[in-house]
Amino acid sequence: MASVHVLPEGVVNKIAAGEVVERPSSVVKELVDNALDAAASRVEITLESAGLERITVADDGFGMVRDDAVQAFERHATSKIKAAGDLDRIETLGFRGEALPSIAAVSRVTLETAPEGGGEATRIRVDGGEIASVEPIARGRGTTVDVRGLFFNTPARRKFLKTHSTEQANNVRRMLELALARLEVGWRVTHGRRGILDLPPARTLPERLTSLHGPAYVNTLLPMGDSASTVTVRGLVQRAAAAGAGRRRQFVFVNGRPVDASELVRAALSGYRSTLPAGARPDLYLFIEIDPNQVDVNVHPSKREVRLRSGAQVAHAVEEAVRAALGAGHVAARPVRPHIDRVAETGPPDPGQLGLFLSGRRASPRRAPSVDPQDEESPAADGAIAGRITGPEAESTDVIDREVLPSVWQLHNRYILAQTTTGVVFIDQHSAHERILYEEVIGDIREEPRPGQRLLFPTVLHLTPEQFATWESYRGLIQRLGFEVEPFGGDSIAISAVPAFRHAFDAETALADLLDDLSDPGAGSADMNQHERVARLFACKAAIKAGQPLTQTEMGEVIDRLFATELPYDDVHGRPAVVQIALEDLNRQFGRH
Amino acid sequence: MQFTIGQAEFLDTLSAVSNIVPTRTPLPIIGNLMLVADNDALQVSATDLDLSVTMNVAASVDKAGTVTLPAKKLTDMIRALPASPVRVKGKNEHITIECESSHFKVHGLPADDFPSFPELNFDAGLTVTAGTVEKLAAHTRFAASTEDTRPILNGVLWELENEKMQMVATNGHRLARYILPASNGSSGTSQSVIVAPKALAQVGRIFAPDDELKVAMDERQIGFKGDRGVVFSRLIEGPYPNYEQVIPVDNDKLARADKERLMAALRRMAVMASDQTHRVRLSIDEDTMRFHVSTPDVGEASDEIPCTYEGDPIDIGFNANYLLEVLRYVDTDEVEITFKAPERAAILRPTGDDQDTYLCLVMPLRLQE
Ligand SMILES: Nc1ncnc2c1ncn2[C@@H]1O[C@H](COP(=O)(O)OP(=O)(O)OP(=O)(O)O)[C@@H](O)[C@H]1O
Ligand SMILES: [Mg+2]
Repeated sequence: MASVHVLPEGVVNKIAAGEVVERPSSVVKELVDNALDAAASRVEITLESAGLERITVADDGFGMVRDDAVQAFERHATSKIKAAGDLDRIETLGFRGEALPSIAAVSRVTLETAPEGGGEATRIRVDGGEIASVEPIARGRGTTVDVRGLFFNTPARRKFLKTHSTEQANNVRRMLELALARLEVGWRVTHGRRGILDLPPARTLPERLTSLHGPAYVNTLLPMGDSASTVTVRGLVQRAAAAGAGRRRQFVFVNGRPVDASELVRAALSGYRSTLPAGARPDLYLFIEIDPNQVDVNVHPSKREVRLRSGAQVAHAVEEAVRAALGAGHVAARPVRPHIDRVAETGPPDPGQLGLFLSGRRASPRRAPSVDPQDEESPAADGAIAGRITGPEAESTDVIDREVLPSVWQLHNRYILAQTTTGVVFIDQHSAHERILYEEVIGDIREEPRPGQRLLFPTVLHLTPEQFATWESYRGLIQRLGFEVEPFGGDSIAISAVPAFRHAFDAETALADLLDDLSDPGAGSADMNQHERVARLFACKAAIKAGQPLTQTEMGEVIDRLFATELPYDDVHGRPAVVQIALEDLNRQFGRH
Repeated sequence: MQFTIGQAEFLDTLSAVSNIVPTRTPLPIIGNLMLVADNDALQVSATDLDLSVTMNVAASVDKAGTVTLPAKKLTDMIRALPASPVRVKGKNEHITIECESSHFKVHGLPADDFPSFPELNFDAGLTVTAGTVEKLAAHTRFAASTEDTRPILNGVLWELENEKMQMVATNGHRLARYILPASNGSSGTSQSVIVAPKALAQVGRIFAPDDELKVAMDERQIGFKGDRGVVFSRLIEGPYPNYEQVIPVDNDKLARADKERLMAALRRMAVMASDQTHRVRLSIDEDTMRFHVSTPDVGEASDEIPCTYEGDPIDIGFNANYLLEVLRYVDTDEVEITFKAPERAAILRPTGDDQDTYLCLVMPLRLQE
């Protein structure tokens, strides 16, 4: 238990001024922050009319003695920091001593609290900021804050509120964030008579998400774990193929504090690079841990913004972590990450690190390593999911087995089937080759242009005016791919050299199609740059098609080259390129355990 | 039907014919060989619908008849038999095969279902030796395309004129042309057809070089007929691109080098070349041909061989595989290569008397600065 004191003037001045309580969700968030800062293991929230009528937050935290409870309603009264220097290493959610007085000023608050260790409990009523009564009561451990009639004395504020459903959505978002930030806390939320959240304490993020959204959803997420020297980025990112449209569940936490950080979300999205379908927004759960003195949380009264001293470095770390998570091998519908030799170099997230992040004691960002889901049976998540997310078998044991002959098979002239040491993989030949070519073509564009194979019989293409205009504006890029093209009168062009690739493809048709797609502004997602767009479209045109028979050698080459790319598991349209079935699963299917 | 034939002759015939039988076919009858026994001869036929082959072999026929039997089973069965007379007898779909103590019963398919072969008028055809056809084909068919983007380039162009005949093949990146004087064959007409390389290969497989062949064709089919059998093939429909127009006549730089040394140097370069482009750079001046490859992330290599050279120095890039492939068919110890410019076709020829017989053209790879 910490005692509440009024901050000295100098500190007060350092604290950003401004309104703390804008809407019901601000109240919900501030009260829950306090409960969590009080080391609660369980938080119960009751809302009525989206919180406008009533918000009650009850916790089983360490509580307050009578004097502290009274002082808590004074402006700038806090137990969490004492001096200006403390602002540089804030590890609690609250630090200003502003929330309770701000809430109390615009509502009718009843606070009941019992101090840790069994001292006398207290009830305080505050009416529009005025303390109305302070009385001893009998109650169990913890604190309950009941807020009624929000904005009863500031009717202008009420007018700015949105519909109940919008306000309630905000409430839920705030509660969800905190539920993700503090896994060890159990939650119950009711709105009116309806229970809307009932979350048992969880040991891992996947476990919590399973209680929230079910195992199928959790299966669309990939673990991310990357520890650069100063920044640690962990969490879950959604497989590109599962990403839906519109902004969805994108959460960023810095040292356990939920924040709005669009630049970090953007960095994460660029980690997906070419794998996202146009308009798709993957769900993201980014947990960033960084030395608290590198973070300034005191930028906005809502505490929703943070300033990072080395923002670019953090953004880079996020991008790399996402890229590694996508590349390190998530394969559609598989319980075990296949690990095909070269992938090992980038390395999958270390399960140990993941465990560290996935747990969480309160307050301190450098939390004690928690129970790893492997060590014990995980009650909530089914075994497959827990295994999948933390990738316990992610040793470099799963390599495509070349000893077995023939080592690869072509199925329906479309998929390549290969045996791995822990099961089998199916590779979509077109998707795989597209990915290979995409990376090659990006290299042609950015590094050394591809040599053009001169043609014996130059081809003349008759273009539409749009295609012709597109050709003119992309001329330089197209040349770097290996094409030599000259105008040939009117809207025609003559092709005298084509990109030199080992495999056969119809270069002229590919160019015409490329020009077509490039002239369509709708093709390709907005945040893709010109190079990526050209590379993606060209790769698609030039890649081995579904339906094309392949020899053993060709299949071997596709496999080798695919796993030498950075993102072998996703094709450039965001679909999976590789699907694995674990031997265990086959065994199970055949009733052999 | 009943006939007896030596195991070795039977096996040779079956093997020469059954290689065209597709391994997978939606039409079971295509997987079978047709056996026709008549007049002390056995005819074995196979087809993949584009290409059909019949081979004749002497046999003692006791009872004429026609059956079809699964190609692979039959060939494997005969291969496994001892070198003794093989007796085949039976009717319709129930055939027995006996050899020494071995005894097989095989199920065939009705012979009526076997596709019928084209009818061509061989009397009006051209006469040529199988060796001539093979020589033309062997020097050119490697250059044909194997892609399905321009089917016309998958074929070999066979041009017959009064005084000469020639074959040409190209994939658009390299071209090979072989010309023989008409004394090697005679025809009243001048014609040109586009033939599938596998048909030409089949001709080489079932006929001996000295065999006289009659070649007949109509708009769709070509047939090669000799004493040993007949090969029919569907023609590829034209028109073939105007290749003569792209054979340079103004290449003014001429190098001569030892073919083996050139190939050896190229093979060494190919090791370091990009596995996608196989690009090697040639720099030639005065009396040296220099080679260089540099592949990002792989490494570099260089080498040189002596040559004789007339003309201004040149720097030119090629797909090393294209050069190696072409050189394999140059039959002289020395090879002559002519150039015009780094973006223009190079011509490779044998030296000496055969100079005008054979020509290969290779388009360069653009060198980036
Ligand atoms: N649920 C609670 N359990 C125990 N102590 C509490 C609880 N709620 C508030 N307090 C005490 O009251 C003090 C004031 O709370 P308040 O939310 O106003 O400020 P804060 O949390 O310190 O900072 P901030 O304004 O950033 O939230 C806290 O510092 C804490 O000591
Ligand atoms: Mg607080």
